[in-house]
Amino acid sequence: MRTHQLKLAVGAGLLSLICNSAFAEDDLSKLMQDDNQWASQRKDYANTGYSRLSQINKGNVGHLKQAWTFATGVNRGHEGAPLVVNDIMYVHTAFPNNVYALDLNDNQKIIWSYFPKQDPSVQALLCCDNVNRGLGYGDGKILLQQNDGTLIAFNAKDGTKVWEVKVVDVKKGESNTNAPHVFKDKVITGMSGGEYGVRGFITAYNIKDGSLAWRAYSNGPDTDVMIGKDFNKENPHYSALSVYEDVSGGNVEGGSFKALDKSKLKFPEADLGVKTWLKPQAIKNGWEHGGGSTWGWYSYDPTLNLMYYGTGNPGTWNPDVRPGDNKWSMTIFARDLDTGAARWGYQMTPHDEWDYDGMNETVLWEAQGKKLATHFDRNGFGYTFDRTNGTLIVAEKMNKFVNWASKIDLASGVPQKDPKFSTHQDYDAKGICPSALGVKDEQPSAYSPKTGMFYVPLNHVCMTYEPVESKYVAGQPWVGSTLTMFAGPEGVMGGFMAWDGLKGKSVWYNKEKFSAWGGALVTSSDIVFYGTLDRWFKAVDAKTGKELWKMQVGSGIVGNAITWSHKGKQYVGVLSGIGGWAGVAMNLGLNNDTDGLGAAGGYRELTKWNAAPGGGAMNVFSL
Amino acid sequence: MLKLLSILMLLLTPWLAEAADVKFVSTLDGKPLSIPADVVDSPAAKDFMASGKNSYIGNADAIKAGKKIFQLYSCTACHGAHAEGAVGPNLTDDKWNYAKNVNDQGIFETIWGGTAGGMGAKGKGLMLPDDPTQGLTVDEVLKVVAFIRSNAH
Repeated sequence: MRTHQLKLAVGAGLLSLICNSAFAEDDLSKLMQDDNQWASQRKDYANTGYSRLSQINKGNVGHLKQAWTFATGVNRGHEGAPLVVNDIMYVHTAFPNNVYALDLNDNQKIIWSYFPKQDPSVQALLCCDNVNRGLGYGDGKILLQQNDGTLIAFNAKDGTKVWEVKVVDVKKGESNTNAPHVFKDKVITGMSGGEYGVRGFITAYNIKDGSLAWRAYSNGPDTDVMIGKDFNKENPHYSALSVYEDVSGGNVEGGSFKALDKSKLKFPEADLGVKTWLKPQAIKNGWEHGGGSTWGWYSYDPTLNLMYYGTGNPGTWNPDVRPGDNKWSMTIFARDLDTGAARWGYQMTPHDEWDYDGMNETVLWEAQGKKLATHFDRNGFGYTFDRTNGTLIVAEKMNKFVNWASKIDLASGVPQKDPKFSTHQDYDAKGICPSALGVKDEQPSAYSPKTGMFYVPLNHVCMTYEPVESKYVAGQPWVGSTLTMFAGPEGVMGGFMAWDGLKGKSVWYNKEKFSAWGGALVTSSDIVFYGTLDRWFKAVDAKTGKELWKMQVGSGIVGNAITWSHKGKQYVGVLSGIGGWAGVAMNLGLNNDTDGLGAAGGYRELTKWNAAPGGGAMNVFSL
Repeated sequence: MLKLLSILMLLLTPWLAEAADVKFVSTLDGKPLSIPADVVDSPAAKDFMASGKNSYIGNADAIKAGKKIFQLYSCTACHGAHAEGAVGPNLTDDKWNYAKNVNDQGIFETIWGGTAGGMGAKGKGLMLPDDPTQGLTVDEVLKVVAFIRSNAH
């Protein structure tokens, strides 16, 4: 039936960019196509953060008023967004990850709630504030991924627990902050712990009963990484043994940053998840603690049956102790949803020297008849791929201040590093842009098929970085670097831009005083919504960036804006509650310039805009 | 009678008997801290066990060594490169989550046994209960404290 429908849809050329028409009989697919709902963290499988609702338009957006609020009762960073499914809003909180189901038909009265009993010590594992990026929905179930690794499925209607599984081992320093994503009949969840020497993986569970479908590691032998037989067949050079000269000596010997051109690459090679972790290493078999965590937002193309996600930084932050490309950290993977087999994998920052964790979202879209995927990486480049096979089409700097690499060679896919900004042990490298926060961090971008543009929240922060010797102890931080951060050359800490994914160019760009750490929403009436750390929730013109409306909420925003409609009325909303990396120093009462890896200095003025810690709340607006 | 009582206490709490004249208690729960005699590994450590005074304070070599240990154990991850605070508290100002950290015995106890605020025990034998070889010796903690104090302002 599904195959038949699929062929029909392809034949008729009806495949929407959202690509979920093939499974229209699936409950979640229907809900995701219904703009009255917000059934998935980024609205749809494609991660667009786009809604066709248009009741709120440029003519009336100036009249938006607060409709209602809901205080979560939890302080600290509230990332992600609630879900709206069948007249119920499901709200999550930062640790301890409470859940509330609010009845939109009865003044947001609480239908059911859940208060996890988690060992408070797990908070010590959450490197950058004890956030949770939200719930998942599918098959009549609400999915909660707790910080302590417990993944729970609740009956969405009454909150009874249907099943639960343990995803990570906190004793090894593993934890969870990501939202579970439901794709077809699978629940996908990742893990955090890149600063604890974890071995990263992503896991698929069957939504019916929570049984394990597959688990794919970010490093190790091909069998563990689940590298399929056609892996990178169109781009075998992505599977090269090494993409830089003199990698064995590492940066200390003056190597590791001179890019090889495609003719000099040796490929394809097997088991790169082992072979690109060369001796000497901080510990035996560095790949076994090689990071590559997976705490971002994932996307899915039902017609190709491929899911997309990025892996994080290699462990530890000291690059000298892990010479080699350190595959498959910093990699965008496309995997078959049913089997987990990797179809393609492209490493964005081989041999990372700056913590440019590659976990940011990948957005699926179409243009000029091509199936594309766009990713705005921490390393400061905006990438567009042919998502069917991983071919790199565009890789351009998101801001000219990006200096660690001059460009990405499209033929080889290799970044041309600038040795001035390479880092090595006991050398304090200065003026590196962007900082470890990246030009963009976890805050997801949005894509409008109407304007054909991406809307991207940005950080404008640079850093000094000094790798140091560090000892791996299971379950303990394993960082191996000290760094300070400061505002970029434009003198501000953030920005927000519209981006052309085919040209690889910014169309408009607004400065922001602080990092824009909340996710973007764009609607078919060409309005973009996003929040700021100084408590503003803003609406701007999608075509020009001109500010149309703003309202101040109770605490800085690190949550993602959403929209839905109820009884014929459109609502927009966003979680407030400052936190995340940018807000954590403030939450802890740090206020010297150099506090919080420099975050407290750079973001020092946040204390003039926010209570510490920031209280969590859902803020809802309507006409 | 008093002597008998103290002998009895010595028998009941051998770790105290081995190591300390000063009574060291956990910041976590106020109970006596386990500091085996074999991790009291230097004259400075022995002196500290007896007096509660850290003779490394202000000692340039100890501060330098302390910085290395601070980095080696990724204390930087939570407290920043100079103990100025990151996702964990600043250790260089005059604000303390635990008031006793203002004196060297107090901060030693906090580091050795951990806190309820998220920091695990760092003392040898306590850091990883199932691997007693892991963790810092008394001398190492004292050097770390000397480094932390050297950044105070």
